[in-house]
Parts: sequence; C-alpha cells; structure tokens
Amino acid sequence: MDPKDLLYTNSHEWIEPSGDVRAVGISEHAQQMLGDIVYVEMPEVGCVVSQGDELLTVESPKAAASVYAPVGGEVVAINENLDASPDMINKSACGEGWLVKLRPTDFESEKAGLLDYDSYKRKIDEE
Amino acid sequence: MNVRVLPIEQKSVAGRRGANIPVAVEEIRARGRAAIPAHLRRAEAPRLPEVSELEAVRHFTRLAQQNFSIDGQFYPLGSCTMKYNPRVNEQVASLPGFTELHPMQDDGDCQGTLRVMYRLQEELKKILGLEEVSLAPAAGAQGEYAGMAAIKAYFRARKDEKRRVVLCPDSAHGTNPASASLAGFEVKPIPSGPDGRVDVAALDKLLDDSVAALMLTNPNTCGVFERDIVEIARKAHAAGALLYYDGANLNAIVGRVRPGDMGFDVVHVNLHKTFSTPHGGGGPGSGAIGLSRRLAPFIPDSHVIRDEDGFFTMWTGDAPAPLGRLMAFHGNTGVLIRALAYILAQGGEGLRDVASYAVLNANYLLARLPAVYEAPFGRPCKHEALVTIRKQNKLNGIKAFDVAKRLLDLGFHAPTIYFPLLVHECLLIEPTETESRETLDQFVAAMEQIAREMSDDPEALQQAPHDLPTGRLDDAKAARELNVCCRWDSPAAGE
Amino acid sequence: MPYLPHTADDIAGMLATIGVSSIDELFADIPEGLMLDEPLNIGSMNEYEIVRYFECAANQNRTVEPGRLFLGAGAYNHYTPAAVKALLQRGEFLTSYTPYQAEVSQGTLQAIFEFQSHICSLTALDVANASMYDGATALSEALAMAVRHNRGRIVYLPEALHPNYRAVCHTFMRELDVEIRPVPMKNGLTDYEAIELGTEKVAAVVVNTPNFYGILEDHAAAKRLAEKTKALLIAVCNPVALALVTPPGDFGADIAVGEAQPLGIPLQYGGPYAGYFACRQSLIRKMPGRLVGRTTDGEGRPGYTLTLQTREQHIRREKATSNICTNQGLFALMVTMHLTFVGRQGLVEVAETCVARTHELAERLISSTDIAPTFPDAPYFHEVALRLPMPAADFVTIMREEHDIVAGYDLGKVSPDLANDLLVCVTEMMTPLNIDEYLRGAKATIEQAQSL
Repeated sequence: MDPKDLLYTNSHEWIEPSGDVRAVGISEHAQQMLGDIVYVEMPEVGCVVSQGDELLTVESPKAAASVYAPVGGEVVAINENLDASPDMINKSACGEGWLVKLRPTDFESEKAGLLDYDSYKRKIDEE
Repeated sequence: MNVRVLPIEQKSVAGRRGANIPVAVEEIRARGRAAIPAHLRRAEAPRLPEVSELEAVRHFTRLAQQNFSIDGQFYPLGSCTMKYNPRVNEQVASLPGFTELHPMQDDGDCQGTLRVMYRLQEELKKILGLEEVSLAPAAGAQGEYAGMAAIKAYFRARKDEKRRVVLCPDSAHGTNPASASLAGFEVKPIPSGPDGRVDVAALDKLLDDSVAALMLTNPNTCGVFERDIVEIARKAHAAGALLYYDGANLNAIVGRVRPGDMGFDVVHVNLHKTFSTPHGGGGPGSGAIGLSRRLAPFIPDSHVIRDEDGFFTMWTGDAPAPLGRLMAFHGNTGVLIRALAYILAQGGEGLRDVASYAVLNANYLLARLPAVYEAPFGRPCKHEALVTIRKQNKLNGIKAFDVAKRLLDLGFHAPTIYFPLLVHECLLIEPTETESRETLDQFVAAMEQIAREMSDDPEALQQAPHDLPTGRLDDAKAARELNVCCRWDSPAAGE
Repeated sequence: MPYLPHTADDIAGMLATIGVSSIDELFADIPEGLMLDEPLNIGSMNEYEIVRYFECAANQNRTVEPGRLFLGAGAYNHYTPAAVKALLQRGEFLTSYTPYQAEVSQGTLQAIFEFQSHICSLTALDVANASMYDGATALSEALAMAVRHNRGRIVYLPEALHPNYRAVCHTFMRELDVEIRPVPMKNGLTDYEAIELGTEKVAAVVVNTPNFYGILEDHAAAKRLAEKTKALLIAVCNPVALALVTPPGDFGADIAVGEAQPLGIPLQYGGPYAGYFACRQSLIRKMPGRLVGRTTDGEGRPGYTLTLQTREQHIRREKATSNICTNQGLFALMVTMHLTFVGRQGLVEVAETCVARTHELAERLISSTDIAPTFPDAPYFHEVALRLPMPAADFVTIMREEHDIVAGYDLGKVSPDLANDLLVCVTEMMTPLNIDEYLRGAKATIEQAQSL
C-alpha cells in the first residue's frame, strides 16, 4: 500500500481509505519511534471496538505501545504472520506489517477524525 | 573484568559432586525411595549441575567478577540510593541466634528477634512521625500494596466505597500505579507543572468525592521538593481523601523532615535504600510502612507488641478490621536486623547528616557537570540530580543511553536513564552521602570526557561500551527468541 | 558520623563550588514549619556497642541445635554447604543492584538464568522467573495470573494448604474481587471429587503436594477438576520433594510455585526467603516477575539480559502483570549456588534421607508408644501428623523444657479437632542419635503426662 493513499490518526495509526473490510496498521513514523518490534498482542477476531478504543499492543524490548482503533468496527482478521515475524512492522509498516482488518460500522461519520497523508506529515514534523 | 563464564551445563559431567553433605547410606536411602508410592515417583532425577566443589567455587567467583557493585564502583543509580552497605550489619545479621530461629517457634523462644523488631518499629515511628509501623511488607512494592489496601479498608469501614480513584503524578514511579491498580483502585495521573512539581490547580480539578488517595513522593522523582505539600495535604484531607508517601526518596530528608508532619497518612520505606541494607543484585528488600492514627487500625498481620512485663508477642490478626497477612511468615527479618544496626550507628544526629550530605553531594555534581547536561528544573536539587541531554540529542542523535553505556567503560555504573518519563533523554544521578568529594570529581571528569566525545567522536560513543566482556546486547533478539533456560541436551550453537 | 566521608574542608569547598553558604540553604525550599529543629531522639552506638547489642538479642532467642529442631510447617532445616555461605558474602553479589546495565551485571544475570533453569528442571515446566518474595506470595501471584488469563472469578484452594498461604491469598484476592473456595480434606488428602460445580467460570485449581500435613497428594484428581472447569492447574510443591516425586509439568500443571527456602536458605525467622514460579511456555507473557534471557552482542558474543520487561511495572505501570519490581536476588543466588554444590545426585540423596528418617521416627514412635498416625495409610514425605495420647501443646512444652527438643508443630493451632496432633518433620540434619533422643524424650513425656 502506498503510504500516501492511507488515512491517519493523531495517535499514529493508519487505515485504508475504502473498502468493506480495511487494513489497519501503525505509521512509518510510529515504527521508527518504537524501534525493534518484538511482539504484538492481538485482539480476538470478532471483537467489536469503538473509535479510539485500545485495539492491541505493540511491544519493543523496552516499551509497550497501545494501538487505538482509527474508526469503530468489527475485527475480522489479524495478521498472523506477525507472530513469527513481528519485525515485519519495522520493515513494512504500511504494507506487509499491517495489524488487523476492520469492518467499519460507521465510517462516513467517523472519518472526520482522520488525517490525510499531507496533514499527518505536517503534524509529525511539528512534534 | 574477567572473561566470559561458560554456561554451567557445559561444565557438568555426570557423576561429579560439589559438596560433602550429610546424607544417609544407600541402604537407608533405598527405604526412603520405597516409601514414595510408585505412581507418585519421579521417573528421572532433575537435570541439575554435576561439578566438583572447586569448579563450582570458580564458577561463582568468576560470575561475581563480572558485576559492578557498590563495593567496587561508584553506583549513582537515581531513585535506588546505592549507599555503602556497612559490614557490621552483615556480621550481626549472621549471628546463629538469628539465622537458626524457626518462624513457627513459640514467641517465648523468639524474644531476641522480637525485641529487635520492636525497637525498629519504635525508631521508624520517630523517623516518620507516624502512629504505627508495620515491618511485614517484603519490599517497597508490597509496602505500597499494603498501604493501598489499608486505605481501601479504611473507606470500607466508613462505608464510603464510592472512593475508587487514586491520583498519581505523571512523574511517579511505575510501581505506584501498579500497586494502586492491584488494590482495586482506578489510577488517574496528576500533571506536573513546568517546575517539575505537582500542578496544584490541576489537582484541584481532580479532587472530588471519588478520590480515595493521592500517592506522592517528596522530594519527587524530578529531584525537587513539593514545597506546596502542606497545602496539597490540606486540600486532599478537606476533600475526604488520604495521602500516600512513597518513601523511595526518603534519603533526601531523613532526620530533617518527617512525612507525618507533611500530612501523610501512610508511608512506605525502602529499608534497602535509606537504611543501607544491601541490594543483593535485586533483593531482598523490605518495605516497612508507617500509618497515621486514622489508618493504624488497619495494620497488617505480623506486628510486634510489648506487654507491661516486657514480653514481646508477634501479633497476627484480631484487630477490628485486619488487613491480613502479606507473607507466609513475618517479613524479611534479616533485612530488619541490618536496618536497625544502621539506625543505631547513625543516631538522630547521624541521620540528619545523611540527608545533609546526600543533598550536598547531588548539588555539588549538578554545579560541576558541564553545560551539555542541562538541569531542566534548575537548582538546587535534593538528593538526586536530574539532567537531560535533549539539546545534544536534537543536534546529532546522542542519547542518554549512549552516555550510560560509555560510563561503564570508564568504570562507573550508569545513573538511571529515561526516568522520570516526562523529561526526554534524561539521566537521574543519585550520588548518596557515602561518596567522597574525590569520587564525585572523578565522575565529573568522566562526564566531561563523554561531553567532548559527543562532538569529537559521536560514532564511537554510540557503540559503547568497548572495553567490557560483552558489548551492547541484542535485546530484540532476546525478546523474540526467548531463550530463558539451559538446554541440557543441546548446548546453544557456537558456545 | 559513621560512613560519611566529608571533612570540614570538603564541605566548605563543595559549598563554595555550589555557590551557597551553608547546607541549610540547600533545604531552603522546604517550608519553615516542616524542618525539625532538633535531631531525632535516637542515640548512636559505636560498632562494638552495636555488635554487643545484637549478640545479646541473638542470645536471647532460644534456638536449639539443628539436629533437635523437628519443626517444619513451611520452613525447613537443611544443610547448606560452607562454600555457598562464603561465596554469598562477596561484595560483587551483595552490593550490586538489579541488572539494568547488562554489560556490568553479567554475573547476576547469568546466575538468575541458572536459577530459572534449575527451577524448570525441578518442576519440569518450560519457563521460570527470577523469583518472588516467598512461596505464599508466589501462589497469590499465580492466582492473579490465572484470573488475568481466563477471566474466571473463582479459585479453588485446598484446606490442606498451609494456613498462612491461604491467609496471604485472601489478602491479595480480596481487592481483585476473586472468590476463594475451599476444597475439603478427607483423611489427610484433598477431596477434589467433593466439589460441586456451579456455572461460574473457574480461574484456577490448586494442588499442594506434599500438603501442609506432609502428605503426598493424588494430583490426578486435581487435574481432572481443572480439565472439567477449563481452569489452570497450579501446583504448590516443596522443591526438595521434587527430586523424588512426579514434577508438576509431568502431571499436567500449568503453573508451579513454592518456597525455595529448603534449597539452602537459612530459617532466619521466616525471611528473607525466595519464592519460585514456573509455567508453561504459552503463558510466559502473563507471568509476573523478572526474566533473564540469553542473547548475543553486536559481535555475536553470548550474554544475558533482562527480557520481556514490557510485562513489568516500570514500563506498563497500572497495566503491569504485577507490581513486583525485582526479585529476591541474593537468595535466588543462594539457591542457585546450593543446587550447584549439592548437585543432581546430592539433591536426590537429601530427599531420600529425609523421607527415610521421617518414616523411621514415625514408625518407631507408633510401634513403641501410644502415638498413632493422624491419617493412617496416607503416603507422606518428610513431615508426618501424629496423634498423641495427650494435648500436643503440652507435649511440645515438655519436650522443649525437659529434653531440649523442638518436637514439632502443634496442629491444635490450626483446628481444635487436632488438639492432640503434632506435625513432625525430619531432615538430613537429624542423625540416628537425634532420632533416638526424640524417641526417648517422647516416651518419657507421655509417661509423665499419663502418671499425672
């Protein structure tokens, strides 16, 4: 996936802009901040989350970062490859390092809280 | 430092023995084996080392030689109070009259140990300015839990159970929220102001009738004294909440200021910090707690009381609302003996000097460190100096982590790094009162050298340490591969 | 003042460097009313006075020589090799702290790694942590871990578990809103079949073998109950017994905990000891406590480091698996040394000697006096409950006063039904002569009581 096509949150998650079921991950910037990712504590498939809920945890040797749901929805898949190769997130945060797939419940009304690539980039440059 | 020590499983040879221990002859032992019913018998003896006594002595001697320690090095680990551990304390705690006493012997057999514990309770009451002291908690974290559970019991007894929130500053030690959470409280952070102190205006907004307690440490983890503490205590009590004191930083004020006088209702003391008992590579500690009059009825089990005839009793659980038992027996008695020996060596005047010189040493370091180590909250500090290299980090990416690793090369243990969390690229330096001016000067010289290397040779700095048996270890590999016990049948490849 | 290095010149020079005129100025930010005007009223002693003070206190304790201490009940009297005690005093072990800086803590880290390995070997489980405060808190942490793991709210604890362990579990489970249900005892054995299950989710079933009464439990019944309720099976085991009896990993336990004190740690009135904690690999991320892993440095040289720290309080704060900060470092090290010196065969021989001597004493008491086993036919390890023809409290007192023997634990303190019952422990510290003395003392004590 091209990072420029994705939608972002202030807390550094991304979500695909369209589709019935959409991949969710953490941004390139977030993976750099975390360093070597060693483990992902996944949610259960089938669980339903609201926008901003804690979705899962990504761990480096010395940090555990919460990843929040960019929009509300049902978790329909988790990236099982990350169990054996969590470093995939470091190698390809916006591609093979995706975390879960969500089926959004009300994307249209919640998308206002998301940033496009350029706005997100401006935000992290300011930090 | 010595070379690496081979894993013990690679030194083992079947049939070797390391000690001449008292066991019965085979004929008798066979009866022992036979007494275990066949269906409960272990199939094969557990895999344990099989080495000669000399081989074992060398193994552990060489392991010891791989460690930095207070005995060998300056160890300015912030928040840990790594002061000298007096040897007389070890001598008295090792007396057979103490070490051979069984915890289930009758109180009449244990009067000596109980007398020592009682005396320590009494001296700590004076030091803390509180009504009661319990020596039962095994460590600071358990003291925190006991203190939180006492607060819970207090509100339960008052039928005021809507108070479910505990407020902790964002600079608090991680154990504070963890302990409050284990005691069933919801934890909310109190923001720190720009001066590193609790933001009293923010606190006002948080104080309502859902708040059970505030957990504070004073001086706080930024090394500064919460000078509004009396005001904070008044506000908390007026709102019906109690005040918890994390005694991790007691060394800054011991003998000069008492937590009870500041308005705290419950205090835990790390006897392995302020009262010089050895850290032992991670333990044992002891987390004695002090309780105000309000909380005294909720003291945990294992409390020594003295009757009119001078007879000591180990009290267990018949108070109006007992908190209960924290340990299988009566706490870390061996640690308590050492702590009392230290208090008796210092006396009231000595304890006061402890705080004075601890604060003097920290301020001396802060005054002498080069400017690249910036003090985010100015001077003076209390017993630990918090500095940050955030500006240097922006310049060329040098991290507090690099400074820490380079210090190891230069023969100093590193300060605490990346704590408190609210200051980026920080080092928390706690010299303690037992270090001489010359040692502090040598440390400053090392920090000056590292400051030069930040601009002269940053790449080398980022690879430190260079002169130790191992370089920077791969933490990511450790966490991904999780090799956490010996492989007796297939020694690790390449070793 | 002791341990403080500064001379008047040092202080003056340092104050000048700081730019203040007195130490008090460094405390100027402390509100006036809080500073004490006078030093605390605590007298000081010189080193000799300290030594004398504690020698007097130590002499006031009425200890007996180790061969005359037949008291167990959770703390056990074993022989510790001299080399262990000597090595433990090394300053590099004694005065270092928790190994945050791995490169200068390889000694502590490798020793903890070996401790973890030895606990895995003893329990036949996959992973063990760096130790907990003691056996009782290790159990309480195991219950909390089970609750986190499967979100059950009920745990089953045997009545035959040490009463102090049960009390500790109550203290810590109360605030977590976990209900502790007892599993009754029948003839000294825990009766898991007697449990009538409700519909609520069970977090853990606990099996304790040998149990408080010294009896080797039938773990199969506990395993069946755990399987039926989909709860975790937690085993509480004496580590010396594990040299001889089926280890928890082999009977299907998910977690094993216990007191490591019998592995070389002195009795010292109950602490410091060290609790051990082991579990199956799949549960490792839910485990409390420190963990050390083997890894390599940039040049591929092996080394040890703390790992899975994201479970811990200093990173995860209120969401941590436990509030424990470190481990019982020095005493975990003592256990590691003890197991290295005593060794594989040595530990088996110690265990065999304990069982043999306990059975010898019990059988001779039963055959030559009016003493009977409290729980006939139950298999036991190195502790046995005996029914006396007199109150156990009186028996203990007379044995202590007339024969200088600590005869055992008066079970009347646990239950009024057991007022005549005594829990007797025999280890390798008791010579055949000590056993003869106990027998003579017991005969005389019973005769004395019966003649009154």
